[in-house]
Amino acid sequence: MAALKPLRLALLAAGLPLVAAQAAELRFTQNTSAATSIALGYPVPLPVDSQTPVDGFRGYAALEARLQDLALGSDYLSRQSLGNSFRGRAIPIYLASDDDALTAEGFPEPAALLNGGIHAREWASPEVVTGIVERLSDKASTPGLERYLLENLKLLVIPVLNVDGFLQTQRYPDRSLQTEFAGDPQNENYPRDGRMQRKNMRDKDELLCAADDPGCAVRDGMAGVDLNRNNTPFRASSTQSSGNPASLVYHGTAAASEPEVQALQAAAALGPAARLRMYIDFHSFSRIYFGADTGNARRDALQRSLATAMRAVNGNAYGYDPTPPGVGIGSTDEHFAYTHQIPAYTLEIEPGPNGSSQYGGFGYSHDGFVLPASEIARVRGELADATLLGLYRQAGPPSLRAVEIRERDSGTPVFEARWQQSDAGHRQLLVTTRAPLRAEVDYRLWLAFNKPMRARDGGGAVANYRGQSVALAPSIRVEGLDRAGASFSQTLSAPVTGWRSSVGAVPAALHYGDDAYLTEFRLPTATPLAGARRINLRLDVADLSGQRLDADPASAVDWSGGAWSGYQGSDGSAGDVGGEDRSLRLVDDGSPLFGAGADSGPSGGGGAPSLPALLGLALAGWARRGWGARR
Amino acid sequence: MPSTRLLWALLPCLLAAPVAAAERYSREQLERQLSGAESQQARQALARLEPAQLLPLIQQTLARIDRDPVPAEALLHRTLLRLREPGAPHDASGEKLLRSLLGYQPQVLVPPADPDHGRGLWVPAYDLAATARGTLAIWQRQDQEQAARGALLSRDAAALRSMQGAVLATVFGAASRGQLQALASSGPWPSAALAVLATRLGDEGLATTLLAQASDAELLDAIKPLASALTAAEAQGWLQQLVEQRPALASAALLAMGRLLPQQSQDYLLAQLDHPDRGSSSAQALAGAATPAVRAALADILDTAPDGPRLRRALLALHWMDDAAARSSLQAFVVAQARPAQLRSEVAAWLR
Ligand SMILES: [Zn+2]
Repeated sequence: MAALKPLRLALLAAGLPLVAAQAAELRFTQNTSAATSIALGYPVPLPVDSQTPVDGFRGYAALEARLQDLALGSDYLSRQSLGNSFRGRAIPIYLASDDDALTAEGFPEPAALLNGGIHAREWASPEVVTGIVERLSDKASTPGLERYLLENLKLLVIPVLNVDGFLQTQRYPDRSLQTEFAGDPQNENYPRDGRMQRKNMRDKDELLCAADDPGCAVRDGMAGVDLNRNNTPFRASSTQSSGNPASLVYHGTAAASEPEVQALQAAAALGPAARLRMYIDFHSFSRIYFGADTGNARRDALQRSLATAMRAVNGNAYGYDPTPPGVGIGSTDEHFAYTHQIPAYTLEIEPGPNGSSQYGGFGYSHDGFVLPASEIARVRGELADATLLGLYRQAGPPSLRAVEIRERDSGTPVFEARWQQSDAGHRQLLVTTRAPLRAEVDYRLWLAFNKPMRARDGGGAVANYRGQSVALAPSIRVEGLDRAGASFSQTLSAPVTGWRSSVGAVPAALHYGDDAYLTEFRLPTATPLAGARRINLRLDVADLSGQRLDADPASAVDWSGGAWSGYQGSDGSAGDVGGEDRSLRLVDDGSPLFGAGADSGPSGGGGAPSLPALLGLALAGWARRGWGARR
Repeated sequence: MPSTRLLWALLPCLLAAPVAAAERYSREQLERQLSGAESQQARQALARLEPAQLLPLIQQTLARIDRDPVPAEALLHRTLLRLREPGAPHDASGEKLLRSLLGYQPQVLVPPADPDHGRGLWVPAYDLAATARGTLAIWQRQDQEQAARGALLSRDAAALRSMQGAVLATVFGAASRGQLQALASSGPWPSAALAVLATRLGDEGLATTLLAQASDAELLDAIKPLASALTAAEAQGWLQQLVEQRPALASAALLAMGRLLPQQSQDYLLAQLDHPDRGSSSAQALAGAATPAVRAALADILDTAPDGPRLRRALLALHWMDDAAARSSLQAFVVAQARPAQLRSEVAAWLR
């Protein structure tokens, strides 16, 4: 060892760097390994010229053509440009929604934003977000979950934010540069440019040339701004970004200095920003949902529970890891979490943290960015399932919309009620009581909700949405106060098969498959119906993602300050979990729905509907299918 | 061999430090450890080693790995990569040694290569198990290719037929045309090999056989090279069969057709415009084929076709041509009061 020291000292004295700049061009191969060839162990994916999804990664022109075709003449999909990239290319965004900015009930529509392709080399990202648009487009003509989303949410999808960088990776799909930059201690030996381009294309041309290449006039392989470090509020505040333009995580000269980040902000404004309820930035790899806790406890908890629901869709193969409040790296999920107070994620698509060795890859440290083509069809499907469930959850909690009770055999109506929008934030209850409820008579009870409540398996049977475990049957009780003021309660039989799959059959689903439920009941003689002071229904049911009913439909649920507003629990207090609906009274004693005078539950917050005032309101012309017509 | 001596001399230097309790390193710490002069010199010494010296080096390093895992794992990783190079020895004892690494538990963990957040995630700095598996797989592949080249030279079609398609595809890819012609009728061949045979020989019959037997994924890989190896008329016929028989590949086949451009392709593509699943790809193919005849046909559709897939795809074809003549056709459509209003407004948005 002593003999080595003079050599080292000599090098230092000569001012020579101990680490020589490596400037070689790398080539990715399946099986061939050499000094500048890296064997991945699976075929190196090349961009595929196909508009429709295949076992592979579509070239940008075909991907964009596919989306333009789906949009042209569509009632549910339209395209806009968000502005131009650094090199002047249009950055398109697709709006998947009907065009009225209202939910099916008439309330202001919420919005969500999905961002693809912010990091150029992460090819799974544009495929996955495009797959979500394709799923919505494919299913738009059937009244299921997808149509519910299209009519009740404005979904904004950017297929490829970093369009210049993405084209650079597709221009050199099997080539890259070994790093020429030793000034970034955290990311020193990382491959750059070509297939491994991460940043935008600021200050660089589209040639791939190594510094020792005699034809290489401009050594710009390391240039560009990391668009996921260019955002408020944490730009340039951590060691995970750099002020050196050659760094892999260069944060740019100012927040939102880059046209691509400005385009992302323009996308948020299309929500408009005040209507946003969810943001996901699609990256690879590590198989995890990253997020940022902001210190807003309700928002942080909702971000976690939303992640829990989405993760369960894929068997919890994906993790969840939020950064603590007050620190960050300048990423886009932080921007949306802090600025817009909504659940926001950096979703790192598979493979897991160990990269493509999980598919038999040969252990190259960056192979996780090169998902094998044979995996992408599955990944598209899995993440469409997970993301659509997340969108469904953020579209809003479930609430009861209508009830009808008829005598089973004669069809004679006994009781009809519906919640109808009264203004931008409220519903009023319209009730018609046609006959008293009697014991030992067979009735049919039909309940309708404001969203699809159940999924179906391949055989058409009622089922949980993938990975969820929600009680499939609702809990339904008839309860009240007898003539002496004593409470009574009778549980009704509520089989899982009661969910109504189709719109149009009678008794039917309302707007969307499985948004309504039908059961039969017969109350025993002992039920103290005669002279009862109050008779009401008591319902407990959760939506596909496990969100319980809004216990007070009078105040419509919205999103405000990072949490739900108008979302009451069983005791009438506003919160984020919902509860039992007891709003429908066949006999009304005029007592408030919650708080003093109600016969159970602690005193709660506000929003009791003025039931007596509405009682008996004429419902001329109300026919279920009539008012259920799609706008 | 002086370089070996240098490396052996360096090893104690590299590995002498007592083992650190921590197994987690920041990337910065890792780089610092590896950018020392000793590590650099070890790297250079490794590069000069004769292939036969690599396996003993692995054994030597493994024996000392617990003492200073960072440089040891780095050295093992580089050595395993060098062993993949053509000409590196791989006998049974070498395979045994590498197989012993397949269950290797990494001792050096670092944050993941993607630096977005990443707190709490630790990954092996060197995935030695996967690297060893890769080296073994490459050795096996080298052996298989060597056997296939031998069988090719001795014209042993029966032996070749028993080999993996991917191996044959590589060997057929480098074989002479004469050798391949001799094999063309000696099938059946696995699809990956048949695709290379059909492409190298430009053989329409083999292409038809391929269409009948290959999976969608195999055909997807074959579309571009095979279509350009056949004559334009043959390729047109083959791609047309692909469109009809393999719906999942119809788009890829239609886009490939757009690169051919015989009259027959244009007619076929124009006829597909109103097909719900094929129309858009036909439009994109036509956009790349902006002949006067295509432009005239599209302009005629703009003037006369009712609102529907055919009209929409004709508009898209002109949109994707993205030149002055196409834009003026679209402009004329926008101002034609009798044409469908919604489409006119969407097209107007394209032109803004
Ligand atoms: Zn990323």
